[in-house]
Amino acid sequence: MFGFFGKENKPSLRVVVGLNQVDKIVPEGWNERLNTPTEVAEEQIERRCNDIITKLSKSVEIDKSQIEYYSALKRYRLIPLIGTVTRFAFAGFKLDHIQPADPFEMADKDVQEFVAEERAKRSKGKSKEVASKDLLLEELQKHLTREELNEVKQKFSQERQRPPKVAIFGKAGVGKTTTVNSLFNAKWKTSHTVVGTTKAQMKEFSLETGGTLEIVDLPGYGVSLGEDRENEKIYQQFIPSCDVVLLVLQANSRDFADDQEMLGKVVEWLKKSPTPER
Amino acid sequence: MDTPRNEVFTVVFFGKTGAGKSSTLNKMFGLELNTDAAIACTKIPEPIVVSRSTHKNLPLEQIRVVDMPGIGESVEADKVYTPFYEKWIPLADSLVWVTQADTRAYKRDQIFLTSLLPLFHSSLFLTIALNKVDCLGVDEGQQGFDIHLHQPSEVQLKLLPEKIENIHSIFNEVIEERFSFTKTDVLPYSAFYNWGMQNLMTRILTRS
Repeated sequence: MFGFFGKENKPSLRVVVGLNQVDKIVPEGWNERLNTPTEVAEEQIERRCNDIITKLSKSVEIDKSQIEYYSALKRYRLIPLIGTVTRFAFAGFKLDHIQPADPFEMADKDVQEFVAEERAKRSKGKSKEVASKDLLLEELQKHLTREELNEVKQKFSQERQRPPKVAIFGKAGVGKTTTVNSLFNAKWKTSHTVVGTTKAQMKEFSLETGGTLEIVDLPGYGVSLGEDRENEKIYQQFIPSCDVVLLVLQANSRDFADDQEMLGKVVEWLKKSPTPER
Repeated sequence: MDTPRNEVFTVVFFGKTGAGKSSTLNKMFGLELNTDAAIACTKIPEPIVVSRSTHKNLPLEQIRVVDMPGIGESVEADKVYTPFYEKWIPLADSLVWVTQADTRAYKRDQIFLTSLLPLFHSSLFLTIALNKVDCLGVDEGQQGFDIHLHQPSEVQLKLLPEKIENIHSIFNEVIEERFSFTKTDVLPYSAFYNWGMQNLMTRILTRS
């Protein structure tokens, strides 16, 4: 039964690393009209991020596929990020319906209109699509007895009753709050440069498709030695109970020593609780 | 620890990778050190002699500046660079600790300061050079550097005293009372816009 909640045979740790602020990697590299990077910038962003991803995956026990680069502010590459978060989350099917904020809302008006038209055209052909959940159950019927199938269904509905719980986490000032806002399409207060989110904040909000989502907004690390000693207790208290941990890094920075250390700790904590503690 | 007598006044530039050590040196002394926005590039300390014959604004006849490789690139790189710090910091008359204003994360600075503090001699000038004040608060939607007035925006100027106080207390957590370190030793500037650079140079060379 493990197969439904873990990934194939190898139980991956439920952590995803997001490299935020890629829009700041190349000066003057953003096409504001389309709200996308320029072609030249996009190549540089990809190269720079792949470099970071290779380095990180060598230094800590996570796979390259657990790292995504994006920009929360510009809503760039939020779809790959939410996909990866869903994939590595415990019972990730509960995150299936989340729609990140639309990047084209920030583009010029005529671009928006064009996108809306194109989308309308494309969605016409797709109306008959069967929900993936139904497909999965159909497939299961072939392999399981009626009793086993009922047990599976029961597990699913039990799990569905718990809201997905996502911890978000990173160095102070990397854009955790902005990430929550645009990735899950929710509104939160952005913190200020001098004073940040100091204690873990739990916030519940309702998803567009029904159900609730729990976000655990953890205080940023790397501010000072004293603060981090306090923070670590908070992290250890909250992280084992989460369905997935999203660690946000600043792609336009070069100092990843704090992040490397923290990621190493997260890996250890998650290994000790391979499924969420409830 | 006795002060080793230097032939020339020696200024060591130190700080987190990407904080802008090399670009500060380039702007301040008209040097041409490599800088790169994406990849850390200062690998070996480069002592350079600067004299008044080529730099009229220099408060001293001649100085020697040393650009140290940046800290915090990775845990492994930090270890490799340690011998350079051990060699150069005891030779420094003035240590310029470059850090940036557009972040809240200074733990790495504290960790390094803790391990380097034993190398400081008692008469060392320590200056915290707070670069990138032009980016202060910009990510949170504040107005950026005012290009017409050639100074940080009104909001940024208002944020500065609080920021300086914050930096001072974070560094003081490590320094404690071991030597004199006051808020006036934290100097805000912007290498990119060449703002506050003359102030900084006077401070690090003459302590006034």
